[in-house]
Amino acid sequence: MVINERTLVAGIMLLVPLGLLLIGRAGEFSQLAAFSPMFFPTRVLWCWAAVAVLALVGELQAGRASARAVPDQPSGRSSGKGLAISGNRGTVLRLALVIGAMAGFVFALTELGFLLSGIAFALFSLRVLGIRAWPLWLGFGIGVPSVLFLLFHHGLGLPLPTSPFTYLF
Amino acid sequence: MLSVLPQAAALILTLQGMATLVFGTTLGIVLGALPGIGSTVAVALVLPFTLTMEQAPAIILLLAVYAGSVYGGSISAILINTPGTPAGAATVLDGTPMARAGRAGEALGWATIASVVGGLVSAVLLLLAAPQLAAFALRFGPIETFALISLGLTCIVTVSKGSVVKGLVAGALGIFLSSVGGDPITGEVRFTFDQYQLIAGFNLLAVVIGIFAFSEILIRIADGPDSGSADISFSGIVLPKIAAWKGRIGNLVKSTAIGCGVGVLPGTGSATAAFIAYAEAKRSSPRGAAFGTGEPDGIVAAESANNAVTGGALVPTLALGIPGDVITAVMLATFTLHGVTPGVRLMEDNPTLIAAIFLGFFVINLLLLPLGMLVSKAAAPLLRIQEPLMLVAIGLLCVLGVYYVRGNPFDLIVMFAAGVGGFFLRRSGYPMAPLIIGMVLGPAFELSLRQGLIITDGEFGQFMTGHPIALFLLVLTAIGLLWPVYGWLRDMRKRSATS
Repeated sequence: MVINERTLVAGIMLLVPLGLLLIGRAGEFSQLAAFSPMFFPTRVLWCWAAVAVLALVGELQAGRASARAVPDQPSGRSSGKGLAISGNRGTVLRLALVIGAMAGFVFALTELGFLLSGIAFALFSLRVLGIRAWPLWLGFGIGVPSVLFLLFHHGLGLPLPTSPFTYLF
Repeated sequence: MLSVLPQAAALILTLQGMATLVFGTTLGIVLGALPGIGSTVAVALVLPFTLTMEQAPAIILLLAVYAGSVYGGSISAILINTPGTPAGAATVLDGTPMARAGRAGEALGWATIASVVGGLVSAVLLLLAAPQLAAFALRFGPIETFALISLGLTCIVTVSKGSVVKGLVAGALGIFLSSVGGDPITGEVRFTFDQYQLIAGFNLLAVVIGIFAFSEILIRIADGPDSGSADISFSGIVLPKIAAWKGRIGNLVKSTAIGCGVGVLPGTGSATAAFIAYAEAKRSSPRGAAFGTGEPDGIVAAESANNAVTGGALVPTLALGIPGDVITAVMLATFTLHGVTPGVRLMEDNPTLIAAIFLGFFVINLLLLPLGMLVSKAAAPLLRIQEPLMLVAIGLLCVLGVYYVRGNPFDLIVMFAAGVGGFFLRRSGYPMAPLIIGMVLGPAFELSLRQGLIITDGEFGQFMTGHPIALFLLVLTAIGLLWPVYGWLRDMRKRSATS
């Protein structure tokens, strides 16, 4: 069996509805038929699981065919069409760092305020994405979040979270 | 519809209304021109900032961004060989060779006129066809509505780009997400896992921004840096002379008709229309052999068709609540977020708003000519913006846009999860349009199904007896579902035989 990103995603897309069906409370309302609150979602989950099986089978077949076409390909590596992440481990690292930066931004927003967390996100992401010229890095990384904060928080009066240090930013 | 036109005109033809149209169209052209942003991301990014506006101006602003961005895609397609939107991909074929031959202004001139004509004709089609279709759909009860939504969901899934089966998976996921939270009939909460934030369900805006804007950032990082493009000198649009149109009017009319027709079909989209029109023009044009080397007929075909789709796609969207493509699905989400319920009663219940949309759409297409000439020259330097700067700006706008609407940090978590999940799903070939369409149409789908079952005492078979319209629509739905499954099985058999 060839495991690649596509088969993994297809597998998850099958396990999710099955898991939800297992932990759902459909039994509690079984007497109510169409009046049951679980009537509709349960049927949607069954349909989802059914088509997810077809998707998984398709991916496994495609993976096997592709592995046969490229016999030298080490097992377990992405081999489906359009799957390869351009470049190398560096790209995967960049991707992981930007996802981490966004997660940090989302969680720090209410603690540090939009401006500080936005500047941190922008400076970190710009550096990760390869902006090296420091005037551009600093100018864009500090300038854009500041302009957005000034425009929305102070200009348009739409309150954004501020830092614990001052209500001004 | 005509009776409410004066009220609609009072909304549009004011200083504020016109300013909204000019601003939205300009913003749309600029965002559409930026490579990688595209119409969907453009509308998704602007959407949250309209939620504090009144209903009609907000929806018209988004419509202007939509129509402007489809035209804007031709600017980057011609000047830097990178279509800003998928719809601009066919324009590249002849636009870039013309630009490389030093005729960039002329190429954009052809594109501008063709876009304006395509857009205006489709606005007329929208005005004529949508009310008729909506009047017919008013006869629908819950059972017919259920059958109609089933057909709409099936059409959209089956014509989705990529795998049909994956489209169905994404559609089912979208419908399921729409059912999380309070039950519309009993009020009982479902699948909230004791998270009180989920009682009202998932925030549609957060999901839209996550799967279209945030996941786009990740996709572009994964795809690696842009390979770059030739720098083309451009000093403004040069409109083609009237004499130059000799022998090209037929192509313009035919391509516009193709765009309108394709746009009305759910799920096809402007890129499909542009390529069909391009292929037909190449086949029938006396200059067909020159296609691909900088032939204006190619630009005219692609641009008139892709702009004609905008009005065509709005016909089923406004008349039936069935989106014509991914962008009209986002537009339907916009309606929902602005408190307008999409569906067969949309035009009946909101006549002034719909008339304002018709009128606004017509004015937007008229504005494309002057604004296209002004903005394309000003926006040309923006095309050289470094990709990391654009990606970081989109990231900041995602968070700002999602947070400021409700001030709810949970929406940010939903946006983040939708973005990361959307990234993996998109890379694995799952189309995202069915997911959003499922989320938008899911509540009406559930309500009509359960109301129908209550009417028929739980007998689904009775949906087909005594309801000829529902029967017809359900038969079409079954064909739509079984046809791709048959194709899938045939492919599997072929693959097994080959191996």
